[in-house]
Amino acid sequence: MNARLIFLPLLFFNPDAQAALKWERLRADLAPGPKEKSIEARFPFVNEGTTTVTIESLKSSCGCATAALDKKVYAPGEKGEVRARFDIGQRRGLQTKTIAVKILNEPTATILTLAVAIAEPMKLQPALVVWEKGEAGKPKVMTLAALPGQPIRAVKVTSTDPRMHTTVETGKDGESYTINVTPESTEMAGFATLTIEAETAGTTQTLRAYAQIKPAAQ
Amino acid sequence: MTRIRAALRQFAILAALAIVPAVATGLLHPKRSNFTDRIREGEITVADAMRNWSDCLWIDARTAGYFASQHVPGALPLNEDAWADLLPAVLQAWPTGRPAIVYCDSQACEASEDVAKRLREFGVGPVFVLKGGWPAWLAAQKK
Repeated sequence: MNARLIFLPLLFFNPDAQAALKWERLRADLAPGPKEKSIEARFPFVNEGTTTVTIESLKSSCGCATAALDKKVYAPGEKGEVRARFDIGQRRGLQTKTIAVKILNEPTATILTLAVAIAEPMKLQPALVVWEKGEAGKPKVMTLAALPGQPIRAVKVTSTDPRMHTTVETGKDGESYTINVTPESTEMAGFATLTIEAETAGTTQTLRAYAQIKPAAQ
Repeated sequence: MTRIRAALRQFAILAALAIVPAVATGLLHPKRSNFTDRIREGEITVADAMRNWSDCLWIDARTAGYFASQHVPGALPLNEDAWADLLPAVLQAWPTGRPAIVYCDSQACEASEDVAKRLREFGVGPVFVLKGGWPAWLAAQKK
């Protein structure tokens, strides 16, 4: 091969086009505690280039995640960090959100990822039971299941509508509970929010479920 | 002839060197172009929503401030910041079997996907995510 070809790859390597910021990490895996309302992650970086870097913008993929910088311009060798904050709200399960860091004169943004695993200490299935207006008001069943090794110790159910009755049956070793929901009557449309309080892993968890008597299908 | 062959060979090598990163960028880059602009599973366009589901339930997955300033007529707010407070109104307004269409700020916004996923668990009716979100709906009104 012609020796000059060895230098061909240099045609595609433009140092100015390389991201001058070296990131300590591009992904943060977070596991907030059951009582935390928000959680933060830091993404440190250093400008390893020979020119000043200007961060134009930080754009989050979700209103639940915000990001901030102390300043926008970083001299060669200077360190900085993006501080990201995730508001848990009433989210659950694994939440993967991104923050796009746009640098002046760079064609593509650097993507920082926040992976937040929000624990679900128990599962309720189904979370909605429905009767049609006039239907026989037979009991409908919801099942509350514990995670392996985290038995549920006490379950209390309250209803916003006193005409929607509930009873709770304990399953084996606190691994599951059966919640029976029975309407007093299905003659009128109605809706009740059921608040389920249960103790597991030393904390009291609150879940919501719903019981509805729907008008006949139109 | 030999020089032409050598030139062609160099051209082929150059092309190959350029194609590899280009293909990798096209396939793997998080901001890659969406050449096909295809509809993903569970998505619906504004045109299809208007054509097929004029009686759908619109769900606004944006934050309260955006909803308060403007929203699709008849839409109900539902987001994961206030899920437990907002959900009862949605369940009461959602007739069995009728579709719900969820939208948020833009195509890049993930809130509508998250809300749609949770709504599907209730099994009331089909749940779609509006392709392009609120800007797509606004643009369709100007046509």
